[in-house]
Amino acid sequence: MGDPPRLVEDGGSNFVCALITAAREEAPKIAAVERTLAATRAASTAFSEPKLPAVAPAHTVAQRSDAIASDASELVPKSRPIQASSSALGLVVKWLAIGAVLGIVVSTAAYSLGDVFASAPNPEPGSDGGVRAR
Amino acid sequence: MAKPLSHAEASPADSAEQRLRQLVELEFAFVWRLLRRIGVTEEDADGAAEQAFVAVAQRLSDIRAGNERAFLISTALHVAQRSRRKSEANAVVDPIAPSRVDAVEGRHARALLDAELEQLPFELRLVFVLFEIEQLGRAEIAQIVGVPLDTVSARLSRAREEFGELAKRLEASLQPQEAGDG
Repeated sequence: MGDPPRLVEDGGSNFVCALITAAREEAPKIAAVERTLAATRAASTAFSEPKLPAVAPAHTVAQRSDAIASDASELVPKSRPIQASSSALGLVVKWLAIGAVLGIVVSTAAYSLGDVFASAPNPEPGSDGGVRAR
Repeated sequence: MAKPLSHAEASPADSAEQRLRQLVELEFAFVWRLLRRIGVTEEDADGAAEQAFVAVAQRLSDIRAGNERAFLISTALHVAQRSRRKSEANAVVDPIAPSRVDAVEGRHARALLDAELEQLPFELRLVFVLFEIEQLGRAEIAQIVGVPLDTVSARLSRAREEFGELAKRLEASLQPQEAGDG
């Protein structure tokens, strides 16, 4: 089944045709196309390679990529936040594990020292701990 | 009408960059015009189109060859919605008032057209713009919008009817003013 003819081709009044034709003739500026080409190149580079290319100063490319990434972040699927939250979780688990190990070491050491002090003879003043009396 | 993308010459090494370049060169004007006609202001259209292409660049490896255009249009629609919300919040007014007749015919005609389109419900406006201005086929529009072909036909028919009525009223209201100006 073919498409019906467009209003401009058939059926539209002169006024309607003039409006539609004017809309078809509107075009963006060349500079906008070039900016977009540069931005897409930077975005694809930033997302595909960890190292920046040496053609431009590193800070300019990095700044541009950061700006683009933040601009478009709402349009990109949620994989990056998920990665970020999983790495934060990993960090928390790591520190909890370190804390638990340190706690065990300290409490074991304290318990052992407590045993040592409890079993040691209590020296009385003026005596040599009862060794000579025996 | 924008031409479909060709991927025959893409090599694995620099295929992504070639694909992007080709996409921007072929589709930028189309996306930019679409954004304008669905309500993005002239000042915001460059940035909105750029955002849509950057989003595509970031997802390019996930997009199947041949689906770039549909993905691009749906991304552009999201960008347009955000841009329209921002513009409404900032109450940005088009510098050319639709009722003013001036020497820049094309610009004036587009301002009038946008004022007409603004009065259509968005789903009718989108189908009308894609069919009448961008000259896409109904099947392609159905794929882009995600509705059956019959729905596209019904929306197009309603959009033409409503647009025709609005245009008649506008033309009638402009004639005495233009005669008075001349």
